[in-house]
Amino acid sequence: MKREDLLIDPIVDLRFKDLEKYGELLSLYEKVYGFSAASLVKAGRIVRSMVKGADLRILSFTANLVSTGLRGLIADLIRRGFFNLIVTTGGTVDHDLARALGGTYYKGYFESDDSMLRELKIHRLGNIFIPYEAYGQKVEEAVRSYIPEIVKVKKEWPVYELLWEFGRRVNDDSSILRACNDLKVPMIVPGVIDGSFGTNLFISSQFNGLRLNLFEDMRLIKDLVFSSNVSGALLVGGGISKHHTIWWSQFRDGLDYAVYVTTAQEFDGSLSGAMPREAISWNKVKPDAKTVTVYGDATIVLPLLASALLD
Amino acid sequence: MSVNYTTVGELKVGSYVMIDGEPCRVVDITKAKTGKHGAAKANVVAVSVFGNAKKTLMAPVDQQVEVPIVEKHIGQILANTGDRIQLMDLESYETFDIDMPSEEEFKDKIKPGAEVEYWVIMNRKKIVRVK
Repeated sequence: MKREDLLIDPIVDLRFKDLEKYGELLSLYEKVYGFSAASLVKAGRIVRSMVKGADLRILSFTANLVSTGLRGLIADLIRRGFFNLIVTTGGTVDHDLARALGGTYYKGYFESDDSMLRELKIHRLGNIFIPYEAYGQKVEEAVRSYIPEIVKVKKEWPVYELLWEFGRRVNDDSSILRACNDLKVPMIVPGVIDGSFGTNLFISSQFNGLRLNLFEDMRLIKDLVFSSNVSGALLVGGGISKHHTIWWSQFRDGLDYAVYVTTAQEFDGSLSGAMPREAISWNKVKPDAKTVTVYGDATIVLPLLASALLD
Repeated sequence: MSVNYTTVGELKVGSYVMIDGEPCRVVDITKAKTGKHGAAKANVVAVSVFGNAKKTLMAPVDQQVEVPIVEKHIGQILANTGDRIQLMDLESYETFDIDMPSEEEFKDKIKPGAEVEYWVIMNRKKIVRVK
């Protein structure tokens, strides 16, 4: 099989305004009610009241989503002010930068010959095909061209400020980094060194003295949590982004709103699978908080949930 | 300063390169062609010429690096004060103090009158051989 036969149909970004022609979709699921439908309806209501009632509104999500069309929707959820703090994983920076700088990802399929893909220099992320040149090379170019001017300002950077600098330099309306910079919404990436962006920063630092100061990111999230009156979070997926969000929330007796969207199960004791009620015992969610867990793939759930935020 | 420039891709085992401001001799190079991180990367393992500390550097092969210029000279030992050695250059007859080499094999041979090869790198001097 030839490379060009696999790289045909590009991934495009879903935008919030695309939802408008369908309107609020959750009323359909209200009728269905059984079984997971009810949790989706409840999640929609909680997210709506959180957006109105909470002054600290956290969106946490994992990087895999940023390879999909959800990227544009997430950027719009920030642009429209629904969320004012982002907590995510290292790969979010990779995929967002790569795509903002013209890296094109393609519609593919799970059932692929991965050895053949390797021969053809194509990465597979689920059913998305990522040509080598659309990913690592793009991130490397961004770091190598932006960092020299960034270190002229100062050598040592909090990660969220450094990410604003990158967001400022990419000209892409559906970029999450760009949206964060435009609205000065901090993107907290506790695992920033885990991925192409972090590796390229490390390489660059050997020559220009760049230093990351993650304590400043901690100070910021601490100050935001301590100064908030009512806090809520939409937590999409698990791992470090979920944990970091609820971890800091414990210092204000826990979240007032918590909507989990996940496919992870609680039986193995994993943080990713833990339900909001488990977080109550850790002071990370308040006992009287409005909570729900929606079991499902975020690529299906998130557009439906976002439709609850239409006027 | 007394340096030349090259790229990481041109370095070989035995080459000299500046890492963290220290002149180092390359002892190992591993190249990785990873799609994930763009251009081919080399991981360079080197040993500091002064102090023998191990240093590593990871960089794309087209990254420019500094190569310290090594000036090689012959000198004669005038005196051995323990930690330091007084040396006279056999071309310029200039005399100066130099650190006692840490290599065990040199210990017995270091005595007044002995000829040595010494290198000047980045304005620092080191005895590398005792004749």
